[in-house]
Amino acid sequence: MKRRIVILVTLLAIMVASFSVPAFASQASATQMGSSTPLKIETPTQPLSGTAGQYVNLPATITNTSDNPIKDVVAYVTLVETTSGQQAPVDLEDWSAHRAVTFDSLAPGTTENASWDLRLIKGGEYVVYAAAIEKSSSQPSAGPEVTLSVTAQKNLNPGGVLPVALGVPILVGLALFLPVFWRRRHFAA
Amino acid sequence: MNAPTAFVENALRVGLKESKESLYAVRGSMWAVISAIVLSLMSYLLLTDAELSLLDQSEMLYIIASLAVGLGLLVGGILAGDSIAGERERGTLEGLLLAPVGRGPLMLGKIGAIVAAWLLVFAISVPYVLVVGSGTGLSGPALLYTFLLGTLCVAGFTSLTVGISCLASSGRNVTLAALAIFIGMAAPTLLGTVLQNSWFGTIYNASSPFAQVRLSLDSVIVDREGLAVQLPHLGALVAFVVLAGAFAAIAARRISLEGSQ
Repeated sequence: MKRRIVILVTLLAIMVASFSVPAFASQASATQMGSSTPLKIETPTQPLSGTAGQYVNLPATITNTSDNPIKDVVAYVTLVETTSGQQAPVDLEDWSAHRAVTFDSLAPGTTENASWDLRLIKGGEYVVYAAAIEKSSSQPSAGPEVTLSVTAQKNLNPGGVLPVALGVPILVGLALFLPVFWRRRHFAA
Repeated sequence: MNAPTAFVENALRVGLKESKESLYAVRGSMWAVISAIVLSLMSYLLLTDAELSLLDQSEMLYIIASLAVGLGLLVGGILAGDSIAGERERGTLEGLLLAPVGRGPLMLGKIGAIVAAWLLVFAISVPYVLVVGSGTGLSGPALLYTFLLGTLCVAGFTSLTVGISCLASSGRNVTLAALAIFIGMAAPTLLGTVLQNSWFGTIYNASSPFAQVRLSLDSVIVDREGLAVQLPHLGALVAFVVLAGAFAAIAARRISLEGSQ
């Protein structure tokens, strides 16, 4: 029994440690821009802003500027944090549920619309831009940089966590252990 | 009384007896208190630490909901490990097998009692979900999906572990096997984002029921996506329950007083 408790406590410690890892870990990425790509991607350049927890929308238009149809186009949004001391590309996993927008084919001269809803996860200064690439090409097209300012929101103790954090274990302990001890004393007597 | 009614009644009788035994013993109640303490520590840390409080509230809610299911699996694994192999070790299996109850109701009752322990963990997690999700409007969906996904995942995991418990001779071995399976199921959460997006991570996530739970909770709570997006996750968990249940049913036919090494 003691051995099981030791194993359980160790596993709980590992589990708690894994859950407390922040979900917005950043990763490095690089985009090579090409000047001869037939794709043109444009986004409004007005700065975006909001408070952590809100959504902002980034619309984009993707145009095939060549005389030939382009097949299998993928448009993607990229976010880079520019907050002083924390400059790094940001993993968009939690910021956007649908990051890639695909088009089967773009006819010559046609324009398609794409749009990304970004959930503002963490306060700070960012630059966001959209990029598009034909799957068989090695030259992506990147849109203009759009600044994004996210106001941090501290969720300190909303709803008063202390009474719950202290009260629930005590209540659960009393509700479960008291009848056990009462029964033991009752039957012993 | 027809056969299905008798089957259900016997299963309920066994389940009720097992639940009472578990709750009336300090051992059974201890898991519930430990679960409450772990949830208290995590929610207090999330809502009072200056750095962690910068996390979006939906992220916090997702962490608490996932933690509740993780605790349910842990408790389920420990209790299921002891279910048949423990009876064998204590010398009470023979009496149990001689009881006028078929193997099917016996297994269903044992599994049901462990799922009831998960329901207790879920009930304990409700105030934490409510307080962490306060003001977001996400507490309701978070509770609904935690209950639904957690119940399926715990039922499957419990069936698998009870099946192993039927075949093994030592409760300790079954508990260790259950913990190893639990770690295996939870391991995708430790993979980095890049690795999770690779073919390896995709296959691992698809084959891990706990990863399905976390992906679905993330989709519901963080990305606020609807039921249609959750159907593949729910389908995978239902398939897990069916397969694990089939394994438990086959293993129940092979219960012996000695067990195998």
